[in-house]
Amino acid sequence: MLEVENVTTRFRSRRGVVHAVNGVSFRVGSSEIVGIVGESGCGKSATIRSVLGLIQPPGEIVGGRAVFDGTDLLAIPAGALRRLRGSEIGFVAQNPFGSLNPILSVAAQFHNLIVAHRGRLSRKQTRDMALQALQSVGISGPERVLDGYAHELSGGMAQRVVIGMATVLGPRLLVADEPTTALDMTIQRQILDLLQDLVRKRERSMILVTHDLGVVAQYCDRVVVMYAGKVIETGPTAQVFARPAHPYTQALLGSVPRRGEEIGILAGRVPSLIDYPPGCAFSNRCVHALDRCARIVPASRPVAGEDGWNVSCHLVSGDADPLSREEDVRAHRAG
Amino acid sequence: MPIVQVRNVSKTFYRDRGPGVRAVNDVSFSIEEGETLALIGESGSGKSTVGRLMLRLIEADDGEIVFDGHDVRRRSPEELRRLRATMQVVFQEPYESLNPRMSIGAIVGEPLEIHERGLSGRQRAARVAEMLDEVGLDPALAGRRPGALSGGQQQRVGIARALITRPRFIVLDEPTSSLDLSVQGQILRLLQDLQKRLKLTYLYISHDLSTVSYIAHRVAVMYLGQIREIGSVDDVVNRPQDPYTRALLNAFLSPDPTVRTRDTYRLSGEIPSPTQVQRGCFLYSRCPSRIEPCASTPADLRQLDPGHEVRCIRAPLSQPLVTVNPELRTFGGPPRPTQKQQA
Ligand SMILES: Nc1ncnc2c1ncn2[C@@H]1O[C@H](COP(=O)(O)OP(=O)(O)OP(=O)(O)O)[C@@H](O)[C@H]1O
Ligand SMILES: Nc1ncnc2c1ncn2[C@@H]1O[C@H](COP(=O)(O)OP(=O)(O)OP(=O)(O)O)[C@@H](O)[C@H]1O
Ligand SMILES: [Mg+2]
Ligand SMILES: [Mg+2]
Repeated sequence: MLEVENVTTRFRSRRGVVHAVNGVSFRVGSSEIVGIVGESGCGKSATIRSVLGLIQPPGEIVGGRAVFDGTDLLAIPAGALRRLRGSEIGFVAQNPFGSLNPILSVAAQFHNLIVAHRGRLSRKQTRDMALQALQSVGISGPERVLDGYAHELSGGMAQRVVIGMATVLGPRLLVADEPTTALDMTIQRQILDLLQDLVRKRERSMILVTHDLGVVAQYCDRVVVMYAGKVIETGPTAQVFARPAHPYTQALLGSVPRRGEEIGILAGRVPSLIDYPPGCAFSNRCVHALDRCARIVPASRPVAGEDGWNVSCHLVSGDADPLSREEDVRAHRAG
Repeated sequence: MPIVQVRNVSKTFYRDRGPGVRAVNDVSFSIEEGETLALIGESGSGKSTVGRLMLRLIEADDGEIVFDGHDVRRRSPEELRRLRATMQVVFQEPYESLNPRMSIGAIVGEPLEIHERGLSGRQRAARVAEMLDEVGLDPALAGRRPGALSGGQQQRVGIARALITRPRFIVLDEPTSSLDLSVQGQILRLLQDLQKRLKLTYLYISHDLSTVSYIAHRVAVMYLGQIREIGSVDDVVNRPQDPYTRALLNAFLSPDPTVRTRDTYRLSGEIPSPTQVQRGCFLYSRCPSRIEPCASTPADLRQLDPGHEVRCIRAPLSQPLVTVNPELRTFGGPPRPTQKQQA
């Protein structure tokens, strides 16, 4: 359904060029939900905004392709992409209030969106569609919300209104950036069940950027792990969660808070995306780092012969993962 | 002695026509100095409104808000300004709360300009750099505008701005919702460390149960403008007595993909609008455990055990209403890697 290849995006800043997205590739199949995770600031939002044509100056896409149903989204005119967005591709931005117009009622915003893509429909017709969309995302008193304005919404209500707008026209691909951060667990679950149902039953696809590993574990078929603007590991959620291959993925999964235990945090800081390091960007924080890690960029290669599971790490030698690697070495020495 | 007390506070938002929205309905609680009270509950139930009322960013209709012996609602603007040096807030929507035209350095340093006027420009810049580092941001970001930061970076700017003057009381409204686990852990540790050293007091609003049980001492659960249940983390998370709390906890998503968490105990039926006047128990229309009297008997908060209050008239139940999600006992994630990253 969507194939992202080598997307590279930079931001010009006074201190220099920020290498926010550095050759990101991943694919999303039909009836599939793909999760994107990674440290704050690692380029998740910039990646999906690049794919959707939403990067504005000082940002600039310098390369790559994003093929959606045979069309390269990065190569088509802005107008054509705008027509796709909203109808064929739904987008839920990380800041819901940023996608709402403060001076138009919610009903008017639904109306404008729907007629922009579907042509002339009456206020009554668009209102009914909007009402149904808001009901499906668990908004209490949808009538009041429709007649209200953005500033009257709680954080989670705004998030749900934006999800309602992104799904009202039945897009084939839904791209959602942290769509449930302001939702309580029951509503979060209701909405994710709803979206999963749409994806599975109607052969749609979804990209879900999230920090919530519970959301990834329970809803995402595959996961893309990013670090410093690159995909460092990607694979089926079950495999990656059971045997994370990259040391960053291991650290990430290892920091799930547990009661009564000190919270796990990763020492050190991500390298500056302005002076991008020559080797593996994680090497300065990696407890396993070898000499060459800081010098040579590790290529992406399959983990243990598994299909669709790839990692970029010098420590993974093709058929062994780093967890067992040191044991192998020890066993080898002993033997 | 509690440092903050909220007594019978209510807030209705009125609009030009139609009934008002009863956002906060007779809410009372107190927080001891050096304590963290978590506020969890349904989206739209009034949590952020409670936080804003406490700092008097909006005016309450009724009730008392006492901070350090002063009734916040009766302070003059001048007194309130001075009080603000000791009460801070981290807003739920990071970007919306940052002035897009100011640099990060100016935003984080602004409270110092107001409350620590003696500092030189250089001293201020040093404090800002130190504060940015504490929240895990590269001090070189001080020159950027909020729009040139990622969502989680913006969120940390909001935290840095609130903490830089070391206020005595902070409302933290979903402060780590845009942060990955590692950075989130760093922020939680920072908050905890400041609390231990300086006896800071927090109202921690969150949907994230794992951070709540890490940082909070007590938890209050809100639904439709009311507190449904309040007690220690242990009481509320391990022995929840209110059906709303149980349904909420049951929806927890395990971070272990081999554990298929099913929410067997869920709310169903019509979601009441906060504009409707409710009779009887507010949860009645959706409660899996309702009985006839719930429709008409007002459900008032009452004490079950010392420090544990609940609204449900059926509580405590001799038989548990549900077997609460076993995942919650440990927040067990996938097994920790055998070779841990250093902490
Ligand atoms: N306009 C800009 N100018 C300079 N740098 C920018 C700009 N916009 C984003 N960046 C930088 O690009 C990097 C990637 O940002 P992005 O928003 O994609 O991060 P993210 O992974 O979505 O993080 P989060 O989880 O915190 O939302 C960040 O380090 C950010 O500081
Ligand atoms: N300025 C306002 N005008 C009208 N209604 C408002 C206003 N502010 C809040 N409300 C309403 O008050 C109720 C409570 O909102 P609040 O923001 O306190 O919820 P919340 O518990 O913080 O929710 P969330 O978890 O989604 O952030 C909601 O129904 C909301 O629509
Ligand atoms: Mg982002
Ligand atoms: Mg809120």
